[in-house]
Amino acid sequence: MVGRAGAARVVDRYCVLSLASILACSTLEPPSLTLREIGSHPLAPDARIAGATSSVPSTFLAWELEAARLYLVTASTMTAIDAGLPAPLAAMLEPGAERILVIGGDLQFERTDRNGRRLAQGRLGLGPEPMLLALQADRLLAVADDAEGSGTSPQSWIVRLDELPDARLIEADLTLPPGRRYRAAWLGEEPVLGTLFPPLELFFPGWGDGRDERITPLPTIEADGTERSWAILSLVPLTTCDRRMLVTVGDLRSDRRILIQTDSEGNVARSTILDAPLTPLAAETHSRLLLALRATSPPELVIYELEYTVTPCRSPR
Amino acid sequence: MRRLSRTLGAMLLALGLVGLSGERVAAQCWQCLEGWPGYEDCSHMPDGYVNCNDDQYGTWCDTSPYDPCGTVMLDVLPDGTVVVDAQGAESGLPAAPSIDAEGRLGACGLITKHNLSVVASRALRERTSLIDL
Repeated sequence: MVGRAGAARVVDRYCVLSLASILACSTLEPPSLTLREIGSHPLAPDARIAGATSSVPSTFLAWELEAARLYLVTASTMTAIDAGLPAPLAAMLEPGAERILVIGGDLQFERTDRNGRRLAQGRLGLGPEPMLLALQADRLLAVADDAEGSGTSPQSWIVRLDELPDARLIEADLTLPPGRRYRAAWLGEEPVLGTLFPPLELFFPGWGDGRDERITPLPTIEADGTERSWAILSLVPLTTCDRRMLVTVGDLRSDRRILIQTDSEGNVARSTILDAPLTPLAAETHSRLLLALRATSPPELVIYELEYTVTPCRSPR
Repeated sequence: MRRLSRTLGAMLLALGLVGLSGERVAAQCWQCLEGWPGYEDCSHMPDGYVNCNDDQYGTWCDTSPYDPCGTVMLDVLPDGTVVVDAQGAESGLPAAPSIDAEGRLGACGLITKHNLSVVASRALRERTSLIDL
């Protein structure tokens, strides 16, 4: 199944012990998801990719941590775009693929064309400066920072971005535990948040048809008891109609990753250890492509073709 | 030569943290650094933070999300780099990384840089060209 030279070295499969119960063990199961590389693009040696999204077929948008630099990525091309806003917190290629929306610190936003030419700029008026942002199509999730560990639940906002800068509030204040830091993504109309640091959990607020509110603990205890510093490195939705996604948990002291697949309900379905510095960033389900960051020297953005054993649902909301 | 490199690296890091104090920076140092008081006793807590069991700085170490460098962990990048708010430098706390031969930070530290050789990069590409999950 796995080729000799071109295959990933999945060192071993992974059994998870939590509260003395085996939650998941994928040793004998066939792969449900295969990533096959179809293209890669080298970055500058000091590039620090902070995130990526995909909102149009076959195209991804990635952005750097500090530099005001975006990358439009396809399997065969990568175009660097210098945006006006430094340190983007979120960015998105808008539907139609002609415009890019970038949101930076202090909730400033900038809308440009694909060449980086500014079309509009302004500031969203949501209140305190949020640290966490997740963009999807016409909506934005923002969660206020809790850097000081205040003990109060972090404020959050979900707004529609129809007429910037007039963002229309859809929902405020998700029920989130205090004193935690989160990573976020959108599963169709439902946001998902994952705690950055242990205990690692996914929070689903229960929006969308037939979806329940759910908290899913993620496996981080290895069978041999090895002590590690785990963190959620990425949340990559695999569909827009349920909770199937690929969660990357990384050990901050090694190259070890646990790639966790959730099922349609948001439960852990499979987990696989990968001893390689590779992190999936975003998936584009119409074209069945996935963008990942590979820590070669220099680092690379890699495009994979997604091969599902189980066909994902095809009814985008 | 290696010792000299470490010293220079530590000095540059300290200068960098001072210069970037209060801003988001990609961490070059985190937790339990060689030379830090209580270094020998440091231990990782189940919640992912570090307890240095240190009389002088213990309160810094055992209260998440602070680390022994006095920095606040804001985020983790997809490559595993920790993003910190460098408040420790304001407090005059030292921040000295120890980097081993593989370019990794010391015993309790983080991998923040992958300076892979051409051969190692090629091997990594081959290993990750096809991944079964």
